[in-house]
Amino acid sequence: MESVKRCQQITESHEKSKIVRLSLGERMSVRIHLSICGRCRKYFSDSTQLDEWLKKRFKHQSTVVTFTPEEKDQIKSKLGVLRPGENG
Amino acid sequence: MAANEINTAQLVDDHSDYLLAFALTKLSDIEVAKDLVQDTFVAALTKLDTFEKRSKIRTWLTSILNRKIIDYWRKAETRYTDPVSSFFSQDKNAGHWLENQGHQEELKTVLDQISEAETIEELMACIDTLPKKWKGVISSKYLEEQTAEEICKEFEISSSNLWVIIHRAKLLLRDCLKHKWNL
Repeated sequence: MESVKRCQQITESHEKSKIVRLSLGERMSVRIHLSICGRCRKYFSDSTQLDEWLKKRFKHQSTVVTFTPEEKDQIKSKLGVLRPGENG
Repeated sequence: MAANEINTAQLVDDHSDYLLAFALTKLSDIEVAKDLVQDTFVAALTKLDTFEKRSKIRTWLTSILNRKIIDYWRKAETRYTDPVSSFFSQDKNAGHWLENQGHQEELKTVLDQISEAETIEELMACIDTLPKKWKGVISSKYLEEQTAEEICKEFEISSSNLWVIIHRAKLLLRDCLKHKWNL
């Protein structure tokens, strides 16, 4: 059965279609394949869901990591070596 | 801008946390991100004379950092082989994927049981398992909302590379989430 390869092509062309316009032939073969393939229909649905979550995930980045004051001092002293004329 | 007009301590205070946050959208390792920010300041200081007053200093620093991140990926990439999703599984049973996968649920079905905030937390953990470059591509696309053209240019990939990476990354994220939720 060549289905695994076919599904790979079809789902990949779904991501392609979000970036460039597919040719008529490509669109037709996607439509025909989808009508008989539940596995690919699930991928299409999951792909949309992931798009939605990924957009939200990056908008609500909750944990903010910052430098500690000690780390900042470390950087400053490293830079100070490069520029000996300056205080701090 | 003359080098002596810039107070380096002020520079670190003003921009280090911003730069770190930027780096962490593209890297999963905090220590690596901190190192690269430090390298950025060092590099900036040694080539202050090339800084043009037209651009904001933060923009300039960010572009230096971005180049450092890309260099880091390149080095990491040569040591890395792409992971493959179970979607591509070629073993004998895979031939009967229709039956095998037929009962599997779509991702959105978990929303009945888990809040969206929680699913996004889980997704974040999964993103950290992606290859570094893929994580960078995904964050450029979804966080910075860069166009496909900009992303391809930044990562030096063709547009077909881009959708192949997005496709594979999504398959891995899906595997990862399904594994967590036993879907």
